[in-house]
Formats: sequence, structure tokens, C-alpha cells
Amino acid sequence: MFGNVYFARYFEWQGMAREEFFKHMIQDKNYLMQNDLKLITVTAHVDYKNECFLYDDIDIAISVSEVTLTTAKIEFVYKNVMNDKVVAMGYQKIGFADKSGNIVHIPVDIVLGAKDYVKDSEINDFNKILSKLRNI
Amino acid sequence: MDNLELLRAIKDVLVNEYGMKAETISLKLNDSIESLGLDSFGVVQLVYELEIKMGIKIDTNSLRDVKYIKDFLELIKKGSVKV
Repeated sequence: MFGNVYFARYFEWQGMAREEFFKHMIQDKNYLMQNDLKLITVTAHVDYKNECFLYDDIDIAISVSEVTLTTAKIEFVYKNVMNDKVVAMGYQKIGFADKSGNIVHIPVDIVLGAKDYVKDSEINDFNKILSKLRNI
Repeated sequence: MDNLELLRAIKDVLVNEYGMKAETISLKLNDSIESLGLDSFGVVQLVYELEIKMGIKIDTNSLRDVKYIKDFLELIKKGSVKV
């Protein structure tokens, strides 16, 4: 088939969506650098549902789940705006490290910024994690 | 805290926070840290949970040197009481 989107492109789109998400959530694009933090991608996954093609408009919706003290899952739903079909679903598990590469807890500011994106079913667990982070 | 109390605290966290079944958890001093069944993020999370539980601060930068459960217990024992 000619013109369908190559499978690896979906991972690039995850990266772009994630960066926009952090920019929107933290409001300060220099936050990670100013705090000497590294964002680590632990896992990245895509399930392909329907093809999309050159010049299709793709919308990516993000939600946050499985938040722990050290990791969080960012979930992606890719939808073709033209026909409203879900073309793919994916997720990333992310964590953070300091400038020496030592794993650290998720910064409280980032967890607070993610609150509006947490699935309703997980909000109680999320609030427990937030409370614990404030005590570390 | 002695080793037995620390092992009990670790087991409590693994059961209550990680959803592991108590009867499947076997913590022996000479077992590798990998025997906890956690990835590196999971081990750091365990440290934070123990800090909260015990009111201490543990040096997570020294986790790289931890190979066995006994090393992990020594690291926890070096933890300082939070002011």
C-alpha cells in the first residue's frame, strides 16, 4: 500500500505529544533543566488499530495512569480527525533521574500538573501518592 | 531496628504497596536484590516507602552498591532520622 503512515512514526508522535503535554502541564519549558532532572522513557508501546495516510489530521489525546512515587504511565489515543476513527493506542512508562543518573521520585510539581489528566478511577490512589511525595 | 524488623517492614511494603502476596515473599540476607522482583524504579520506590514508614532519610545514591538484601538492610540502617 502506498502512502500509509510508517509504524515508527507513531513513536515519534508520542514523543511530540509528550513534549507538548509537559510544556502545557508545567508551564515552564526549562523546568527539567533548571532542576537538573532527566526524563527517562522506561517503556513505549503502540497498538495499531487502523491505518492513516499522508495528509490525514491526527489528534492525540493524553491521560495519566498508574502513578507511583517513581514512575507514571502516559496513555495516548490517536484519532483520525477526518473520520473519527481510532488509528492507534499507546503508552509510555516514564521516570526521572538526577544529573548523575540516579533515579529520583517524580517531582511534586509534575504530579500536581498531571492531576487534571488522571483517570477518574485512579484519583484516590493518585492523591495518596501526592500526599506521600509531600512527605519525602 | 534489627534485621528481622527491617525484613518485616520491607515485606509489609511489598504486600501493601505492591500488591504482592505475603506467602510468595521470601527475604533472605544473601539473596540478590533482584530477588525482590522489582525493577530499578521499584527498588527506589521501596526506599521512599520505607523512609515514610520509618521516618528516616536513606541515601538513594548508594543504591548502586547494593547487590544483596543484606546490603540493602545495611543501607537502611545508615539512614538518618528526619528532623
